[in-house]
Amino acid sequence: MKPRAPYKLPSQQDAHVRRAVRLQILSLLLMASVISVMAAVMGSSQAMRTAWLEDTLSLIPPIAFLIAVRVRTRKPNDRWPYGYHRAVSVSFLVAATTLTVFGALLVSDAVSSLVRAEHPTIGYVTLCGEQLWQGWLMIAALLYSVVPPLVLGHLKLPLARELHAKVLLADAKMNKADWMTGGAAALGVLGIGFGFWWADAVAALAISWSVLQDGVRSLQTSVADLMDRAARPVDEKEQFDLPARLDAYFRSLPWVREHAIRLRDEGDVCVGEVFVVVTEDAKLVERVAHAAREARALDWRLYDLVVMPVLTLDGEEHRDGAHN
Amino acid sequence: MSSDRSAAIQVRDDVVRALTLCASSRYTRNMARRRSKLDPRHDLGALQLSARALDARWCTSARKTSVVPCDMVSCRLSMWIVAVIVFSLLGACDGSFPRDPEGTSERVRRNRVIRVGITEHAPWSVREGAEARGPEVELVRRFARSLDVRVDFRFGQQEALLAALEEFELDLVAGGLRDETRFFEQVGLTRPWFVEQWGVGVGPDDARTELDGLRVVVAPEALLTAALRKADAQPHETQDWRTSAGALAAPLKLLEERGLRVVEDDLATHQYVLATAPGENGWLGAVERYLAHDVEELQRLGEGAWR
Repeated sequence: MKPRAPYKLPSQQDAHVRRAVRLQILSLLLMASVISVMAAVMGSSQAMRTAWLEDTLSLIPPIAFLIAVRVRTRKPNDRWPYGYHRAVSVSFLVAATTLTVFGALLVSDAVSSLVRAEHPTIGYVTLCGEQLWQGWLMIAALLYSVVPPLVLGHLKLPLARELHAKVLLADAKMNKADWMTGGAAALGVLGIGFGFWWADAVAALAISWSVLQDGVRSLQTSVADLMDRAARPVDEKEQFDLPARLDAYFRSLPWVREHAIRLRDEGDVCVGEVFVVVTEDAKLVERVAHAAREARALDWRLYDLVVMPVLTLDGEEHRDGAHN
Repeated sequence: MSSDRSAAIQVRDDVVRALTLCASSRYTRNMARRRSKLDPRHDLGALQLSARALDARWCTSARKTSVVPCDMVSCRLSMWIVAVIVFSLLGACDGSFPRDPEGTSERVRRNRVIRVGITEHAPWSVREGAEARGPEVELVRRFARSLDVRVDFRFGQQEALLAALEEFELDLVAGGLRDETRFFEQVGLTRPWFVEQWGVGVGPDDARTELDGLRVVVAPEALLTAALRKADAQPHETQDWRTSAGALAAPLKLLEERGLRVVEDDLATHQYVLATAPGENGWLGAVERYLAHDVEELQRLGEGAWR
């Protein structure tokens, strides 16, 4: 067994990773505070419970990210010759599945309470001798719950693009969308106050629908990743010209007549093969080794690249050879 | 006040208009994007133009509500926050907030009568002929007096009354309801109007300090019996537990009055509540305000129950 060479991030990216880790730990702490504040004032408002559950679920992606970051830097070995980069995809898949299942559950909850026309009762608390409707406390907690994820999401988004990290991107987008959850839940509670019993369930439905959407979208991305979809940018804003640069590099080599590239994402790095049809066989091994090394230096995202000399690009020759 | 009110309504209308425009411009733009994905040759000009026009109108309305539209995202966010806050303030300046979805408070005010379901649950509420008696009945009467309305008492089984409450056929259910009862999830509950601590007392000559193996007279109530059994006492259930001699499980106040020495002061805590129709939050508030207002009187009523 020949394990891959260990992967080393360039120092700038390494700094980004460390920053992302700090942000994720901060998010865990802040979200824990949000979750406990919300739990303290949570009454029978379904929208509030749903928002609370979503906040609890939003702990999963940061945890998945932190675990993946630790695992993926392990050196490839005889048992795991391809290394541990897939850990990122696997953790993402787990997070996405959880989100999807919870989203579906919450949607069915909201629909059933709408159908049964449940009238949510929200009680009172005594504050400074006055009878205060608990709805106000809930709204205050919800408004507080909006702030940390919004800020964190804005901070994480550029990092995710820098690091070509889909898990981080999904997390950042979830965070950014979280203020809508808080807002919707607050509107639901206010709606109850205005005498619309259905406002709460409708808000809960909107929130759970967004959870479900998040889940399905993440599920698609993570499954596509594990299915070795062609490498692509995490979103339209990532600077991702690696395939074009690889193409240009092999085009510039005088001894290469034709070439074809196959590239996939493996977690947050790219790996692939380049098939080349050569003009002459002289010093082929040295040339191939040199080209592979130079190509890998093009971009830090490119982890493993195999350069493979072939007779023709469509591969028909091989099959004919096998028949003979 | 009325000009304030109309200004507030103006602001609210502006916010609602801005939010609607914001939503429709987003929708149009998403549609444009989706179509271009399906078919890159698709002519997007018209759709994008209309999205842009909606955006412009939206930002104008947003400016009118004095939100600073620095960039689109924070503009959208602040719109929501402002909407929430404006709605809250509008609600708060109105005395009837939170309101009742089924209009209980309004109906009580109009018909000058509250429909109260009473379960027979001695000593809290008992039936004597056509008359209702007991501290909780008294509590309801006082509450009605505070609102200056009549009470229409209806006796029945607890379950049937709670079901009627759920269907908004009653306004209030009373009769020794305690907040630990399981099937209360579908109705509204007040906070306890009276908290009663139960304990075990022995005669003053009795030197015991442990419940272990002690024969304790107790009212025939399964939860009390179970609590005694858990403390390794030997519960003895009887209807006339109040007049029996020997060790007794009773409310602490009663033990004190009987001159018994308390050996266990935390056998059970009974928290008595009233039930209101589900989701009638304004009505629940009216009941809660009365309970908070008359605290000492209610304490006296509760303590007098077992005499």
